[in-house]
Amino acid sequence: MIENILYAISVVFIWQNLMLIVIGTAIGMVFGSLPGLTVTLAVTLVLPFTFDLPPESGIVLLTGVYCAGTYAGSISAILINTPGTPSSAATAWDGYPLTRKGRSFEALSVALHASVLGGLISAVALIFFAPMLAKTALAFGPPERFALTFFGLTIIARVSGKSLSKGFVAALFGLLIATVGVDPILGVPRFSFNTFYLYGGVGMIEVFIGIFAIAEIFNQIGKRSEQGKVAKDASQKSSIRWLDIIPHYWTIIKSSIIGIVIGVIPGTGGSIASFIAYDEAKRASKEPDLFGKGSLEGIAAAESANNGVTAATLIPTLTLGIPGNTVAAIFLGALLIHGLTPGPQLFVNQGGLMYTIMFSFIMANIVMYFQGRVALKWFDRIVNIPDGILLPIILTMCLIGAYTISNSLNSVIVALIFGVVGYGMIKFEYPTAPMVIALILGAMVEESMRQSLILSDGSAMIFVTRPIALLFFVMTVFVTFSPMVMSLWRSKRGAQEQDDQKSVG
Amino acid sequence: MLQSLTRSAAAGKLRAVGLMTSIVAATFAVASTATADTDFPTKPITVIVPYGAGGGTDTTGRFLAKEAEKHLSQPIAVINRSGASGTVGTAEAAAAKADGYTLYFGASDALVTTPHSLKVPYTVDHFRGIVGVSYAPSSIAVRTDSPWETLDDLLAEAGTDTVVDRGHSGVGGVHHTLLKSLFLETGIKFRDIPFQGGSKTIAALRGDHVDLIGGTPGAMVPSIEAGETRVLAVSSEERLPGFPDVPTFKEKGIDIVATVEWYLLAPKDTPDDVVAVLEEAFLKAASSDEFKAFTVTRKQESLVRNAEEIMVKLKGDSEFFGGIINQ
Repeated sequence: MIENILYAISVVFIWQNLMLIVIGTAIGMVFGSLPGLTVTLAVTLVLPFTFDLPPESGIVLLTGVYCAGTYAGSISAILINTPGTPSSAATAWDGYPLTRKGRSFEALSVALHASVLGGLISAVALIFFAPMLAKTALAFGPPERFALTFFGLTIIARVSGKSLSKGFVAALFGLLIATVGVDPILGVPRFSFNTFYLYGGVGMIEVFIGIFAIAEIFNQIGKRSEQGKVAKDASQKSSIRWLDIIPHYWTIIKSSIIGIVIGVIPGTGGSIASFIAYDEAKRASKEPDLFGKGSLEGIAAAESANNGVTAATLIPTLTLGIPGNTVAAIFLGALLIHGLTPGPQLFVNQGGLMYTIMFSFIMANIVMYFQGRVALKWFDRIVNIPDGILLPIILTMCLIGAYTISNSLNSVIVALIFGVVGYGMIKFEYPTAPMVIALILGAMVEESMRQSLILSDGSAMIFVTRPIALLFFVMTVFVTFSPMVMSLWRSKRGAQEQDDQKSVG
Repeated sequence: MLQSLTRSAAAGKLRAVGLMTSIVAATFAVASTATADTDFPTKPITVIVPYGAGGGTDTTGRFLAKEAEKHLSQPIAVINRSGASGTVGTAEAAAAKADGYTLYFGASDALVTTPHSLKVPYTVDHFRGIVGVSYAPSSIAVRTDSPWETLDDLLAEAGTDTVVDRGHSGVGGVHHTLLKSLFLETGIKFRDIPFQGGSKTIAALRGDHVDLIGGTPGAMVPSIEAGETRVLAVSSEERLPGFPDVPTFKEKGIDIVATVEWYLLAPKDTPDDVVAVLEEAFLKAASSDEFKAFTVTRKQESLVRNAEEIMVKLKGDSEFFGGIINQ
């Protein structure tokens, strides 16, 4: 292991390779932050250029693009309410409200710091624990995966905002959308309305573009007569130092660990990690009511978790060949071309390359931090552009972005339909967060549950006889019912304290 | 060897085309000067890949296009029309103008198996071949601690109460079809658990969540090297060079040959002379050492087929898979 680490250091710290990291992170940041350009596209476009480089340099460059591109999804999530990836959906919940309050720069800064910290914690942890974690990942079969994704679904109850029933309606709608497409077990089309375009289901990024960005554009246009431009909050700090992040340090560490643990589980991806971290931060927060309306803590949790995943998800991607998301899939494809063979022997046979990836990851995070500090001031000026000019530009980019997903108008139509749906949800005050969680997790919950029940011949006992699955179900019950039990217990302690408790809980 | 074989086959095809279309046919036999004979191509050629950018089929298609550009006077643009498991792009290619400027690079599932299980506006007959570049057979594998040491051990389970938990990469795909036909033929009891993609299937086997899987043997090499899995049989015509000790189903008396093919096609009405030009350029590209080396990294077995051969193969496959899927 030591010689592999030394080898990795000797590769990453050659000045040519350091330059490649700087270039890679810059490309990743630009592609990740612009709606319509995605990090997936960035890795795909950079890939041919790496054919002529030595394998190590190619990997270093691609790692930079991958790492910065994943982070930069938060920039568009915060500034224009368009998460570039499913994992930054949770960032938009708090980031965009802060932008509307004129505190976009603070939101951006916290996201940058949290991302860098999350990425670093995850990369360092992985250097020491990766070979071990690779083995445990295999223990996750269908029942365990069901237990985890089901746990993720219960978060819906806590992000529903004012009305729990409206939250459930939105969640059920999300689950309904998730069932569209060819049934994963039986292979028959569901809700495809005789158009084979829907056989593959409704594209998630198209829905995000619609429900977040396009709906918000409609909403802004609708409000135009009532509300003028957003004024920058004069009290917001013009530069953020590490000191300002200290209140959130515990949230960031906790969220990074959640990101690492969930990132290692094959095929779950970053989104569920950022939801769980967000939920946990809200549960532990002193100001849970602020979540969803502009909480810096919420951004810190979501971003550190999702960047914790970025490095951790490389473990199942590289040792099992199971990428956690589309970007990791493209990244994996790129590594294959550079001669890296995913498999259980990766750390034994190609340990040098593995640690090169991990060290490139650390360097990419550090470079990203400095680039981010410079770039954020420029990105932040987007908010100064008058709505009359900005909104049409964003709408155009959203539609182009939707088109480039599959290079067809079908995706644009889906985005527009969900733009209208999303506008309706804003107007009738249905929260979009439950719907997004349900949509992302729905397919995973369904598939793993049905796989488990096939294995057990229809008996639900399979979920409680397996220790890891049982653990997650116990956590689900605990997290769901503990607030109720706690408040019941407290209310018994006397009517005098009861009033105080209500205002807190 | 293979290279020279396919070259001569290509020349034969060119000759036939030439006799029919013009009197300068004689020149074809001597040297392949098809490009000098027709105007095609006069503008860039588009190749539709029905899957997303960066995946196995896409990178293979792009590499092939890059190699073929060396032999054509016009650039080749590869575009990804992904969606609905490859059916969106395939449908679009089937309906494209048959002038040779829109081609289709794909793999078996979307074109050969899907039309039998789902309603799609195309079949194999909507296309004509240009070149087949590579293939990958399917195989069945178990963990090394499995009681089934050989295929015969597994076949001995027929008629017993043993229920095999079998995993595969998706309903209606080549691997699923292989398992279906094997279990139908032998009558072994099973539970069928589909996963999304080959890697997840292999992980499920390694993690002891299923007993047996169907999948591409090339993808299993790392876990075989780690001493965790064992391939019982492959579904190719002959034994694979990478797996000299693994028998084929055929030699064990089970008549199953199931492979995933990668190929370049054109809409069915594309004129003969245009196809001849394309075939020549793409045959050269597919036979180049660079391309062959590339397909190895993508876990494919190199096998170049000319325009006629690939269509015969596709139509045969379509019939074979259709027969099993509709059972």
